[in-house]
Amino acid sequence: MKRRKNRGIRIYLPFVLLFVGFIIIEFRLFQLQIIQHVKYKDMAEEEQIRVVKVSPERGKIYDRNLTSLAINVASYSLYASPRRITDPEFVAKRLAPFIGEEEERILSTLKKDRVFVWIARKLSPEVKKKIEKLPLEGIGFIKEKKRFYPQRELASHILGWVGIDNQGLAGVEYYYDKQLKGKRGSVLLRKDALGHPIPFTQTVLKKVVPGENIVLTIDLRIQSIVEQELIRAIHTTGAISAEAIFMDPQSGQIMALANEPAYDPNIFWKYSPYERKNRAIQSIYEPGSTFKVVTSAALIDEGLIHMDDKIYCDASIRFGSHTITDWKDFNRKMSFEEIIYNSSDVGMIKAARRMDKSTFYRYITAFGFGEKTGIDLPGEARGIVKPIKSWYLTDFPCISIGQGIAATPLQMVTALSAAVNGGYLLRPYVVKEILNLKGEVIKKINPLIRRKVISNETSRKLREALEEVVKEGTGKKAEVKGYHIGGKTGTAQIPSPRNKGYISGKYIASFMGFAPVGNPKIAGIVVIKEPTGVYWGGEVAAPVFGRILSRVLPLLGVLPEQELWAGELTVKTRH
Amino acid sequence: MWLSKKKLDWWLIIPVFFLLAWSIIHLYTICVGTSYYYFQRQLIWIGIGTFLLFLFYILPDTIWFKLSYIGYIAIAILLIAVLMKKEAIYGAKRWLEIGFIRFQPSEFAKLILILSLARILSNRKEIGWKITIISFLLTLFLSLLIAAQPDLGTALIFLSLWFVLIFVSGISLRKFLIIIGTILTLFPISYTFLLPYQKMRILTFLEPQRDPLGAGWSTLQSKIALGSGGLLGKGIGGAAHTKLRYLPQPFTDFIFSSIGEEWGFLGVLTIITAFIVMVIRGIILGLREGNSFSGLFITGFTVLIAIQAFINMGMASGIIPVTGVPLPFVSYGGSSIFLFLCGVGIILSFSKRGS
Repeated sequence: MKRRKNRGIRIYLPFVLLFVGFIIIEFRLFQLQIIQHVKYKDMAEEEQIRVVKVSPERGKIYDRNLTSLAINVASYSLYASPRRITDPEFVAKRLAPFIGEEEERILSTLKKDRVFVWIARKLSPEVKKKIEKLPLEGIGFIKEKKRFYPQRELASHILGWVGIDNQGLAGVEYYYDKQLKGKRGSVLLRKDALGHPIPFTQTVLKKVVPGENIVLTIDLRIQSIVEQELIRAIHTTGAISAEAIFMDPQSGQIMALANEPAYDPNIFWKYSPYERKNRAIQSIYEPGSTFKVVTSAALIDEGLIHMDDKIYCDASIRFGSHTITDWKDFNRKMSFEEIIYNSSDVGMIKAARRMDKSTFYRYITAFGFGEKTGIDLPGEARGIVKPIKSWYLTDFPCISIGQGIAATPLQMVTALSAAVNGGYLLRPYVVKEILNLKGEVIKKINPLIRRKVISNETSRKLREALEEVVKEGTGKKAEVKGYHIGGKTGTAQIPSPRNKGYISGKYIASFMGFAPVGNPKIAGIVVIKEPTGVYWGGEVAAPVFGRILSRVLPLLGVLPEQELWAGELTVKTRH
Repeated sequence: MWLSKKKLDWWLIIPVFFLLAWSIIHLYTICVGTSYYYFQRQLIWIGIGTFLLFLFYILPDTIWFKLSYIGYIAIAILLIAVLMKKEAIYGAKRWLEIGFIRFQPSEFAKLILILSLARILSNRKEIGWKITIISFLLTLFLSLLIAAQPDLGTALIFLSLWFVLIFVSGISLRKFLIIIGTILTLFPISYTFLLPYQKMRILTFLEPQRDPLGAGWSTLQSKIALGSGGLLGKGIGGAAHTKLRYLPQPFTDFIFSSIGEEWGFLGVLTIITAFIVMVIRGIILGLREGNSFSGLFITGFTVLIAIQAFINMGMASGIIPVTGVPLPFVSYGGSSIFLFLCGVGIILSFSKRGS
């Protein structure tokens, strides 16, 4: 009987212990599910619900005929979860040849104590396929859109480029970044433990606004002609660089803007800052004789000179201790028209004396020198115009022939447009329209007249005088058979950055012109820096301008006006 | 007495089938929207298991005594066969395929061990050192085979079964205290023989923030699932944390947590109550049968149910380290379901004799 009782206790004892265990579990469950319920509920929500940023696709950029200049292509970005990689050395070694990065750099990335790291951004689908074949753990791909410029170097300085996160860093990409990038949206969604979003659980917090598409004023056909001719000019003259801008003088729309050497925006980082710089609007230079257009405009508009007024042009002229020598020993009386087309410095200085310096200064600033043109591209330079108070004895004569003043090629061509379009100073611009996703125009950019600078009559007189430059004067090489072309040559020295003088033997040759003379449809400038050998603007830049116009004018629908050309056509058709 | 001859023991049967039904329903609700693989398979296991239960109930109760040692040899061979296998699942070798049947011999080894220990320890006036050591070696042999899989949790369950059974079968207190002393001495030494992942689990248990994405992850997710369930749970099919796969092994090891998420505190309390009813019934039957073969088997098997339930629920609520011990009658898995239903079948076959 005692034994039986003893056994009873013995059976109960282990179960008593186990029941105590059950009670502990019940208390524990009470603690978790009742007391700490809110805490764990929040933790569950926090784990399951995520806010995901949704990036819109960047807007595309087209030329005026809707040819694609900047588009988006699929690319794949490689990431790693370092905590899931057991042998980072092996992974780094295998990846290095595919992503063109040093093994050590990949290794240090993989060794970071993070859940997620980028290894390489925006790889092509081919590279992705190759990497996927490797037996590697802890890496993966995320699809991202990559900016692609199908025309490579063409119009690169207008387009600019984007950074790795598709943020605009230069050119139109930078200036219109807000419109192009759209607005990032965010979505609240449930994700499972593996990070996969759960369907039908999305709540849109902020809607994605897709980037807007941009239509440029640039005509790609003209742009490529200009770039070809500039490349050829560098090749034949041995110049270090060449810039050109062509615009519609009636509206301010830029048709072409080129800097050679150029760069490929797809691989912009491989180029020097000089190659990437949009020198046509960002670099300043002494315009030289091309600036005489402004001096002449002021004199004519003020009624201080007539085209047939005769002025004696000496070989040189003295101002105190300073002597300015003309480029050619004229030593004869010339009409003002001759002074312009022969580009006599002494003649122009003498003519300029007819106005006082404040009048001249007024015209200089009225033509937009010393201020930004307001073009819709970043980094535009102002140029340098000395304030009238600090003009020395030599400043007035020097500035009247384009020395002692600095301007951008864009300012020059904008001023020329005003001089030949009836006197309206326009804001030059490169973006014509902004389109939405459906291709509807949501914003149209209209020409903007900044101010009236000279009278229509003055403008007409200038056009005629400038046509003589091409017909009879220094700009003969810009002539295009069958067309009436006007323009002005310029040859300037390059100011030394160290002392007050100029760098000897280095020149900037330029030519700016327009056509047709009766009703200008195009105005442009060609600037060639440091040509070797012949350096006169009329010899180096004018022929480039002429070649460009001979190819561009037919594209603009401008037909030959002179009979000579028509005669040749009839001869040809007879064959 | 309440038990008459040839009558089913409803106090045991009802909680068992209550838990089985719950298991089926729960697996169905957390399978909704995905594949019904686990639900369908569990349904088959329970069907076959129920058949075995009634088969064992009908069979003469004397065959278990005869089959115990033969069973021991057979299961030892199977456990060795498991270790000879090349591939491992989740880093462990626990499965054996014979033809198209795939099972875990370690589960059946539990039943065989209880039968063998019941046979060697039963009907003895005094448990001598010889019997103690022989029974211990029988237990240790199977434990080591299972620990080598490696499955430390199950191996420790084996040793505790032996520990409880020699105590219940009437070993003298003096001998028992000597055994306890020996165990306490050997325990710290054995820690050094543990595998790194096993040490990690113990350390993680002591300090859960140690590795939140590794071993501590399971415990944390289990606590979140339970805690977010609250008093009444998230309702049928509402177990988001389980369904979004944050909770690891929601069908097997952590099924208790997913029930807690769906049915809340009241739900898990009901589960615990079912176990308590079952265990109390086991104690009553064990007491009635004394230290006979059947009495020791009933007690041993009831202890097994209680220990596994305690370990599994303790693991889910984060009070003991994570080990892969299924919740009896509830967790998904053919081997576990068969083991417990066969065991209950054997108890029923003993209980039908009445007193």
